[in-house]
Amino acid sequence: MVKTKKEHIPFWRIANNIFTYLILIIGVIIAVFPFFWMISTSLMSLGEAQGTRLIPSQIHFENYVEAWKEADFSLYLWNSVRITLITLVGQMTFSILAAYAFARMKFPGRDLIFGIMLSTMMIPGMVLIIPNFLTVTWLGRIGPLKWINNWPALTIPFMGSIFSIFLLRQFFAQIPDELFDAAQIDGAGHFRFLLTVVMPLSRAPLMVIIVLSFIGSWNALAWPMLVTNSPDWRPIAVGLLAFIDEAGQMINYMMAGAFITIIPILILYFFTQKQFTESIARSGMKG
Amino acid sequence: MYKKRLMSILMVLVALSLVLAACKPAATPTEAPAPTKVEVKQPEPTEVPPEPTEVPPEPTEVVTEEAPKPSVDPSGQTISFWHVWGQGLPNETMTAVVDEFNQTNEYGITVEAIDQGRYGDLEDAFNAAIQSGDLPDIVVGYTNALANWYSVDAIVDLEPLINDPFYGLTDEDKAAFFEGALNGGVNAGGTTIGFPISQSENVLFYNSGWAKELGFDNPPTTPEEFKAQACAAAEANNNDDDPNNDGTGGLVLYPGASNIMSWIFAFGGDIVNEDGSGYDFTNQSVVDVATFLKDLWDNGCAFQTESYPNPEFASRKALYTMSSTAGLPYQVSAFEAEDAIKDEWTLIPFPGPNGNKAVDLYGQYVAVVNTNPERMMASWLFIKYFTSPEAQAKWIQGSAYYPTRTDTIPLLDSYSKENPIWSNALSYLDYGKAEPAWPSWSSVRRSVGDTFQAILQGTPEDIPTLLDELNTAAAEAVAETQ
Amino acid sequence: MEKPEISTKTQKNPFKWLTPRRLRIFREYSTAYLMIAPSTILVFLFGIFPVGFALFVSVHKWRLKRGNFVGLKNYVGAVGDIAYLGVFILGIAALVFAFLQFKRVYRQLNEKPQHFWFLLFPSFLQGAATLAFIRWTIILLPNILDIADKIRGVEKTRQLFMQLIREAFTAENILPARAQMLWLITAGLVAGLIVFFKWRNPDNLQHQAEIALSWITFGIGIVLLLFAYQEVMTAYQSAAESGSDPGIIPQLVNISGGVILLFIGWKIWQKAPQASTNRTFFLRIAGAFIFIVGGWLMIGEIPLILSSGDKDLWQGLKVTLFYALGTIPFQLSISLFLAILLFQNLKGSSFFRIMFFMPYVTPTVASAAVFRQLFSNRLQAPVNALLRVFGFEPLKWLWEPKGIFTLIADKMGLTNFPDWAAGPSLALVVIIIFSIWVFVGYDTVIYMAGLGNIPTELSEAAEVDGANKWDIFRFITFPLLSPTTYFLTLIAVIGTFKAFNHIWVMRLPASLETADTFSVVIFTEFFEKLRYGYASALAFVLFAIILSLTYINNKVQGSKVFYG
Repeated sequence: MVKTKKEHIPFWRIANNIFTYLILIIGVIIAVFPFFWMISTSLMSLGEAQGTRLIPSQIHFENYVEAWKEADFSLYLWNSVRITLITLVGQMTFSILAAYAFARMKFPGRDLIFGIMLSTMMIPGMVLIIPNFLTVTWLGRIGPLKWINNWPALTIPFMGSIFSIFLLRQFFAQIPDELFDAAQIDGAGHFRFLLTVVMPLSRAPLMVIIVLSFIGSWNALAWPMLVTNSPDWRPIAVGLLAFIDEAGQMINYMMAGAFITIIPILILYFFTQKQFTESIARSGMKG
Repeated sequence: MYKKRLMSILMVLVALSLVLAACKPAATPTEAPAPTKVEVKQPEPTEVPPEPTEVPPEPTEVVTEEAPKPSVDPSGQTISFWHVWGQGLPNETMTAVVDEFNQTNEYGITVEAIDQGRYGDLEDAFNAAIQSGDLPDIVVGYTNALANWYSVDAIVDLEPLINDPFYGLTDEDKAAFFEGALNGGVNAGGTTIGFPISQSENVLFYNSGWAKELGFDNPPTTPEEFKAQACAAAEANNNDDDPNNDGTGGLVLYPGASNIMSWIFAFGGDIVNEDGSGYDFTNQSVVDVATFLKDLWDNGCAFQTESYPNPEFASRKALYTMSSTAGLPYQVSAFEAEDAIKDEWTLIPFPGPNGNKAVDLYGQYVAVVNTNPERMMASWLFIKYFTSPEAQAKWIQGSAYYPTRTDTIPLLDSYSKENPIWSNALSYLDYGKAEPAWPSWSSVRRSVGDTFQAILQGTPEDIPTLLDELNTAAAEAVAETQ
Repeated sequence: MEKPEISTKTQKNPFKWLTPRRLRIFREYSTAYLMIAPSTILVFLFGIFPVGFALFVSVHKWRLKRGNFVGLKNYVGAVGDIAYLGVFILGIAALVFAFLQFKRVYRQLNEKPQHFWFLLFPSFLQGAATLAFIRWTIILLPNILDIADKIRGVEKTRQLFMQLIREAFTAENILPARAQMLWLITAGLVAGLIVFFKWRNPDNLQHQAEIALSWITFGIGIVLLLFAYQEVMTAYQSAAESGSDPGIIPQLVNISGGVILLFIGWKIWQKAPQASTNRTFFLRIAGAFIFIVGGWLMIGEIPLILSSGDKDLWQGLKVTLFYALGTIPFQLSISLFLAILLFQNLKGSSFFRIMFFMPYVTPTVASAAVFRQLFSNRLQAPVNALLRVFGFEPLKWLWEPKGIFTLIADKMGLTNFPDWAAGPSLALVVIIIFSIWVFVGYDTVIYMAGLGNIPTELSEAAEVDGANKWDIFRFITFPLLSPTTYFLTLIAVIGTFKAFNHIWVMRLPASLETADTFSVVIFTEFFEKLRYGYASALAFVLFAIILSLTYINNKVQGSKVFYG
């Protein structure tokens, strides 16, 4: 191990470190193996994929070409990105405003409203699909927007996110009161305080919302299927599932498709991972 | 102080009872004016056409001598058609046929074909549309789903459209259809709820090349022969040098309802009870099928795979698989994979005792949604066009389904020659039988699959109990849908 | 600009109440309401309204299309006669809650009790107005639903929809309810304003709202009790026709008696340590014991009643319970362990963190598909291949409906292993492994943050005092982490009860429904059997379970949580 002349490192410390690393490395292997297997299998021929090989004997990159050709992944990916971005803009604006009010302002019914909103998170979602579908159709019928088969039905229902409000509220509540008092003395009201002090401090939880929102859009399946009737707005999960159906037992194609699907999320995650893990961590604290 | 409080409580109670009393009389009258509800609807019919189901009764018999006159004018309608063929060649063909209809039909009817994903997705979408009212005009679906929709008046009886003196089918046309295909669209009450645009069969995919090597020159014609071949193949795979294929070789036994039904039909039985009012899963042929499959399973002559067993079949891991003929193109491409063993293979019907044969017939049934006479007639005209021999021939070549009328077959000569395996199964249409077009079948077919899976994994003694439970569950499902 | 104007006004008599302070409060309130408005409206539309709608569905026969109102029939089908008890208890609970709320506000207005009595009336009107609004919505809803049948085959224009909606709102069957609602709203507002002007209490509005809420709960309680009564009577009537005795009332009496006894016993038990002498202490313990045993005996009927409910539901609940017990403790302890290892300021700790977290961000459809292959029953599937390398027999994994304990017993040569001890099926175990794999990273990160919040001085001081590592963990770290543990358990409990997507992808017919959790049962009832009414009732049963678990978790763990 590392030897320094100043201090003698006791044996137990070295042993402890070796042990720690051993455990952590085993943990990483378990966490990463499925990804490794996915990528590796996606580059095999079918026969190899069905066998016990871990590494392809020959790289079959054409599996990806085939998968891309088979399902219109570029359209589906673009749809998912569009849907996520629109959802995000609305969700962030609305959640920041609401979370601020819940965290730092007093008004009658505050805790009641928040409590009712929180408890709706516990209802199993499948029975809510039909009523929400009805709401969306009626909003499209009498409102100015076209909802079905268009972005509003896919995005607006997700703009009021209790989870985001909860996350931000936890974060906003931790901002010291002194900052607000100081701002007030400077003549700043709530909005200016929110824009100039709170927002810059909250980059981390906002990152969480961005990444979680992406994950949500990437997973969405039943609802988008119900409110779209053409591929124009159908998101990636629909494409992947249709592809899995088509590919059947062709494990190698299936894994290629699956990997194509998760690449964007993984890239986003690696770029934001620091803020992301940090604020996921902080969201859970204090309350 | 106390007095005061008491007084206040009394006051509140009095106020409360007053309001409650005020509520009550207000509440009861709301029950009473129920009949007025009907009257409220009255002023609407300017927009809403009256009772669309009542297509004017066809005076066929009376006016056969004169040229029939059109009862409704379907021209200029725009019709939406929900289907499930959103991918690949079937999608292209569907679009092409629809475009052709739009350009050539003399009534100026426009059909919009909308892909709703898979059958399950389409059912979800249609069920939701029943709640909201945004229904299409034509919808494709499994007959049990159609039966569900008919039970809530979402789709209509097709008889009046088929028999319409002006727009309907001629007797010649009607005779050209396979009777089995037409009957498959008839529900328990004798109503025609679906019209078959094409059909497919659940058949056995059989690796005849490998069977010959194993010493069997002919495909099996009885369950015993079937078992002998399956077990020989399984044994061959167990005894060869490759440890990776141990446990494979025989039949890929996915106990889905269609596969089970095929065997039951082959064993000469059915699951519908004598008076046609419900299910009967305890009759001898069902028990025989269960025993037969269980025996195959226990002897290692049958096994299961996660998903469609096309690669297994193409690499001598399965002598037989059970599949819809709709899976043909996928199986063909599985044999094109580089690891495949390029054996001869074919489609055979399910063998039953005494040389009986059967296949389970599915149709691609379309239904007409309950709208107004003009739209319904326009929908029918499209269906009629789609099932005309020329259009059907195109559709068959693009989808690898089978035609529903005999006069399409001559048009498919060259396709038949190019696809010998496909044409093999063409003759099996004659002994095809369809699953019940009952609303309860949606949940019962699921229970059939679960039960047979449990039978395979249980002991042979469990069979009667499990079938009894299935019978009970099926009876409950029937009761639920009545 | 405005401020001076108002302050001049405050000098004048009529606007005396409009002090700058009040104005500020007003402004604060309205800003806050405006800020929460968009989210609240969206959550109401897509989160709360559908819940109400589902409740409406659950009391109807609704197979694809709305049938008759059937009261509690769907619930009785699901959980047996407990459904009646449930409504009854809910009703009582609402009344108790209303009473406590009244009492609380009364106490707050201690110095001016007359305010309470005068606030009572306008609040009553406001509460009644709210209930009238709910009643109006319930009567209106079918009118709107019926529009679906009126627009078949018609050209669908906005004008048509507007007209139909207008007709639905003005249909004669809802007019009385509407009039009643409008009157009550006006009266409530007027009375509220009068009281607001009359008594200059800064929290006047707040108190009005609170009392109105109590009235609403009170009203709901009464309605629930009436509903329960009516349902029980209907059950008796239909039973009388078939000549049997449903025995619901004795059940109700027994069980609620039992619950009361249990409650009293528990209270005495709690007070026992405060007893002054040993004798009273033992007397109290003995008394508590008798009450508790009596209580248990009286509610002992519950399992019997429940067993008359839906078999699928109990199977689903059992699976869910296994799933929760299999995931939560393992997930938490593994991640706590990893978090402590990572917290040692090792080189590369952020690398490990990134890797551990990856499963959490991966879309389920993709990762579950991979697990399906890893844990396939094929001999060549990765996990089986690994087993074979080490000389073990391959297993059927996702294809195995047998319980793991049975499998282990089989391995050890034990025959006749009892069914009740079978444990979760191997298929479910794979799904549990998947969930642990997904959530360990998330939990680890949160635990690490929790560790970061613990002041280092404490453990350093303990170390100086000669405490070893385990002691520090046991007596300092772990207790100080309790808020984190609490939060994670809460999230995990809710999560396991709602878990659906990955189970749906990984369940195979071969596992014979041993991996079908409650949410899967609800899903099949809804989307495959199209029993909308029944499935919605099941969803509310599940909701009740989650809510009570959360409540118990709050009570048990919450009381032990140490907020540092």
